Amino acid sequence: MQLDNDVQIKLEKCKDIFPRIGIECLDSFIGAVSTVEEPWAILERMPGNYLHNIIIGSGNDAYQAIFGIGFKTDMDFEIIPADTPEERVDAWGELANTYCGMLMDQKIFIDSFNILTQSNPQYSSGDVFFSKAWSVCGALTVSKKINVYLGYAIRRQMFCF
Amino acid sequence: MSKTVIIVDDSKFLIKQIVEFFEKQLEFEVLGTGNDGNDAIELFQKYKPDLITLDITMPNKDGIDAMKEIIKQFPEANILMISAVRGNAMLECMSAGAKGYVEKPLKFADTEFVNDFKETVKEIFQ
Repeated sequence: MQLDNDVQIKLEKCKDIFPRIGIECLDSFIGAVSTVEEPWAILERMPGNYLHNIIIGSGNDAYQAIFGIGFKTDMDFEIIPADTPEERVDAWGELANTYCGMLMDQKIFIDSFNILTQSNPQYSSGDVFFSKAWSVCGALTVSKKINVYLGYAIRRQMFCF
Repeated sequence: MSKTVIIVDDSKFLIKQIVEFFEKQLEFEVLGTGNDGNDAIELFQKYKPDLITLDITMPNKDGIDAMKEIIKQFPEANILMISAVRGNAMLECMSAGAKGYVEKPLKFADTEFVNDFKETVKEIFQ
């Protein structure tokens, strides 16, 4: 499938807001100061080779998007305090939901893609395979040892009803 | 006598924080909590609280539909929306009868946010 270069150009323009929102979310949810150790990249497909995945979809008339949070180890996943595994999934899901909401506060994003309405977050364990879609991807690092991988993939709607 | 509140959000993680905020910072009595719009309607009918807080994005029945149904049955209901949803949602909620709208993330460690949240609740009862 040929990807739409227009989407890539639009994503490139607003690339910097993605890690910034992640940093703010981690600070709000767990009081953790996180940093970008390596530059975030724009990829043709969002990676899904993680042990734990939180995924939330969103869309509008013109675009469909997926936001994902991935963790390669249990230690990374457990950075968010919780009494049970279910509560931890719930907390990361809420962070994902908030992230998508905060993205819709960004003028540079909505000027390009307009407001996307988000769905409920989902959890999966193990590798996830995402469809091709231009994606902004990268990691946030907490205390030099915890890596939280974030990715936002977006493409034009493929179906008309 | 303290005011009463019901908290509805699909995130139990957030419910804990919101309950603590209402109990400790606002001295409300929390009568119950729920996880979707159906819970919200049921709990409101049962307890008729002074205030109900509603998330928007929830399974089964979302917060906006629940809000409209509660207002239909109880036109004087005090409803505070607490949501990460942006765009027209705030306008839609306020024009449909919500008394306030608080945007997530809920920064309970941030004094300015806490004061704004308290002010929003206070204004509902003025």
